[in-house]
Amino acid sequence: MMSYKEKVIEGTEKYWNMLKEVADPEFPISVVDMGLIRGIEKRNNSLTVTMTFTSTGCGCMDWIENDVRERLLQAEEIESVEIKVTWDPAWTINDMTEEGKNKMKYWGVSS
Amino acid sequence: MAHKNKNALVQLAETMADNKYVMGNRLVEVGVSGPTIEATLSSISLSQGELSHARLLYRWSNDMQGLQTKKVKAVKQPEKVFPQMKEATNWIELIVGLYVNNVAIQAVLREIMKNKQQELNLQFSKMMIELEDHLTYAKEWCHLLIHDKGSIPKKFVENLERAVQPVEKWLNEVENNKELQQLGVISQDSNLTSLFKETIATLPVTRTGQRVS
Repeated sequence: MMSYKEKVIEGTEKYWNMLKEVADPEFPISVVDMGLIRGIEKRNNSLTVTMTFTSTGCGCMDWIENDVRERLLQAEEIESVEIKVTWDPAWTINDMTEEGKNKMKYWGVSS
Repeated sequence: MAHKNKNALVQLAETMADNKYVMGNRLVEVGVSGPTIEATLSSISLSQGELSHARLLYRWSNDMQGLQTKKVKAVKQPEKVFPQMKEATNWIELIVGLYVNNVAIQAVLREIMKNKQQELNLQFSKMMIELEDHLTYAKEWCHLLIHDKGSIPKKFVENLERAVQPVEKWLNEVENNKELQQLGVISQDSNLTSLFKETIATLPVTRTGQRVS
């Protein structure tokens, strides 16, 4: 499984780090460590974030999308953020970072 | 996909979406009185899944019709619903409907994705995994009901036979639909009805309503 750092396109590191501050609503880990972010592209002053969710019935989809958008719009140079949701490949525990897995284990959630 | 000549496919998507929408509804309405607390909690969780599957299918239908809507809201009562689930008022009817409907929907979606994989993977690959989970859960409950005591096994078989008939009829219409075949979403040799019958026949009951040990 590709580590999230391998998905980082040059010039977007800053935005990945910003999303490390956006927490999953159900667990105290970031959306990046949860493996929800599949890619970030920057074109001029716009960002396109490709992301997924742990299930199609996730009740927090709007919440997470808004948190991602709001955090990225705090970057001075960013005027718009588009979020694209993909369901392929389907999210699995292997999408989580090692840091994310360790945090989940600490909170008593592991497989 | 282009938007013209998609009426049959839109109808197909909406039939599956309507049924999933109603399954989501009944899993809460009926499932809240499940036989055990675990069954009730599972039912609520499955409901969330069924409703999200309905949303993905409605969105697909909207896309095919060229409707640009980010949020999909039910604006009308679902029309194309199989009676078993629509009329479910107890746990046996609920489990039978959940299993029978989803076996059929899985067969149709597998057929469509086999033929239109690249177009649909982005939208449906996670749903297909979840659908398999829902079927595993429903089938386990079917086995429990079949091997239960008193009148439950008999009621289960009566419900199963009642649920299967309209679904078989629908699958037969789908696999023989010329428009769907011309669109390349259903193969001429799809055998949806046979696949459905074979899967339902894996339940350990006879057509006369007796349990197979």
